[in-house]
Amino acid sequence: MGWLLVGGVVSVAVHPEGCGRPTDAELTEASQLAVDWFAANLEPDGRFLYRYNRLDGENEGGYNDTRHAGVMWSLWQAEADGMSGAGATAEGAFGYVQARLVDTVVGPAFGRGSVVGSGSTGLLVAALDERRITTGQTDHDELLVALGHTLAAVVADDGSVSADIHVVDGPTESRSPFFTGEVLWALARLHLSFPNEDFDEPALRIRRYLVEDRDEIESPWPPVSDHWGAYAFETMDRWPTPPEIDEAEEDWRSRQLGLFSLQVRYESQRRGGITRLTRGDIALAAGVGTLGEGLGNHMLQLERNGARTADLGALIERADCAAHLLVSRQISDDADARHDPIHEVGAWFRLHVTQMDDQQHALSALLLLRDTRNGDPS
Amino acid sequence: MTLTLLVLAMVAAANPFRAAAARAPHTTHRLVGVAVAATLVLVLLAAMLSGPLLDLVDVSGPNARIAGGIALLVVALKDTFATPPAPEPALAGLAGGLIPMAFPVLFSPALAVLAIAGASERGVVVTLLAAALALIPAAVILVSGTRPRRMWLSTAGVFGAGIAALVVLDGVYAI
Repeated sequence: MGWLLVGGVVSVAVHPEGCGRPTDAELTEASQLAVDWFAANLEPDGRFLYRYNRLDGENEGGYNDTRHAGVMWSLWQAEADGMSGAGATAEGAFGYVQARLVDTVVGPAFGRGSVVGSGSTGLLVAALDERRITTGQTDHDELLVALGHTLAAVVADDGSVSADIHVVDGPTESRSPFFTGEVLWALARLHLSFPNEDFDEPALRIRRYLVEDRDEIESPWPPVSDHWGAYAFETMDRWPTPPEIDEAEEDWRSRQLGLFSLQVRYESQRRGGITRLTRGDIALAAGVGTLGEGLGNHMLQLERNGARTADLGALIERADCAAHLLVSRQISDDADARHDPIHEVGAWFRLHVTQMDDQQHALSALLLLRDTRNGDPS
Repeated sequence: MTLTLLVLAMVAAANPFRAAAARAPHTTHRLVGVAVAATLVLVLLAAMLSGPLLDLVDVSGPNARIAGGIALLVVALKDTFATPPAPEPALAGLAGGLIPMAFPVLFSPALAVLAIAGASERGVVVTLLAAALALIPAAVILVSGTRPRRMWLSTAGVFGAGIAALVVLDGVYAI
């Protein structure tokens, strides 16, 4: 009786994890399909299909500038990784940006209306900087540096980051769980590309705040699962003089890896059928993608600093699992489309709906996880 | 999971006061020795099967720790609130050390899951060592012939529930 009771309770609490290890070819194919989705869903004004419901074939509208910049970053990342057509699509998306560069009192920013986001500006910097590195083109350098100085201006003395910039009044007291990492990452990248512009100082200020104070002040519980912070740490590790990882940062990274891993382990138990009752429906592909991005960036940094494969064993398992979940959940064939293959093939759906950031985060995660296998620290 | 936590969890899983409550009258020292040795053999088997078993059911090491913690929680709550077990009919001779003393009294379902979870993280040898340490209190109490009071068993159950929570958290926060 005791054994049956314990067995019953344990089987409800812990389910089998539907993990696997996709091949490099499968990662590449899934990435290319996602790039193709963006190419096929790029509209003449430079924006993408934002949200689509495959049940009734309906474009559900809406748009988000931060996510637009995020898509541009992922496409340039894909171009750098050899995905066909990614760069051209990203160039097409820049038209939308050009029409929405706003002059604020602290410099240019990307957004609409009287209040623009620091996050959208940060991700735009990441995208344009990746374009600069991938193509060697320097035609946006002046804009990049100016955007960088705008971002430096949203960093408070304590390292916290204003989420919004009022066009007339400047940075506000608003905060965002993700913009802090986005701005940090942008400044970290700019310090690599423009080392004489002093972008390192505000970046280091944010880094300290993000590790030591951010969760306590902005989000006591649950702690932020910060994939953008992971991008930033990986980038700063490539600075000519990288910041030393102190005890607080080591602790932060361990907690972050635990958060990413826990979420992957939980998500992998969502296998349909009865697990819908105990685990709920699958997460957004955007969410699963961010787990892969977080794991991938931290793994790249650990690999670069001499971690051996044996040391990374559990992380590799989780990363493979995240990649497997993404590859297995993507619509990869015209035959699987319900309404219009153009809007569906290459995309990820949850409850019949996809949003462009599903493709964006999934694409970046798949490429990063492929890089970690190849030991590509670039 | 640290060795200390694993040992404490296994102590709670093989709750010495539960074992003492289920102890048949006239249990000899040799019978206790057989029970402890048999329990260690069962732990060794569970630990050795850990890898293949977890692969078979697609459960990662950290999630196995969560399972171990939850199994311990169920057993600990039973120790806290249920009526203490009465001495059970035993097999004749030294076999009485096997049934019921080793199984099901000492080798509880929680000890089985903890052995599997412990071995997945710390290996078979360390898990066996942890079990050996964890069975010392049970062996001492069984040999002494002490009849536990209800409150002792309940208190040990509360202790076990606390340890179970730590084991679950260890699995939750693990990579």
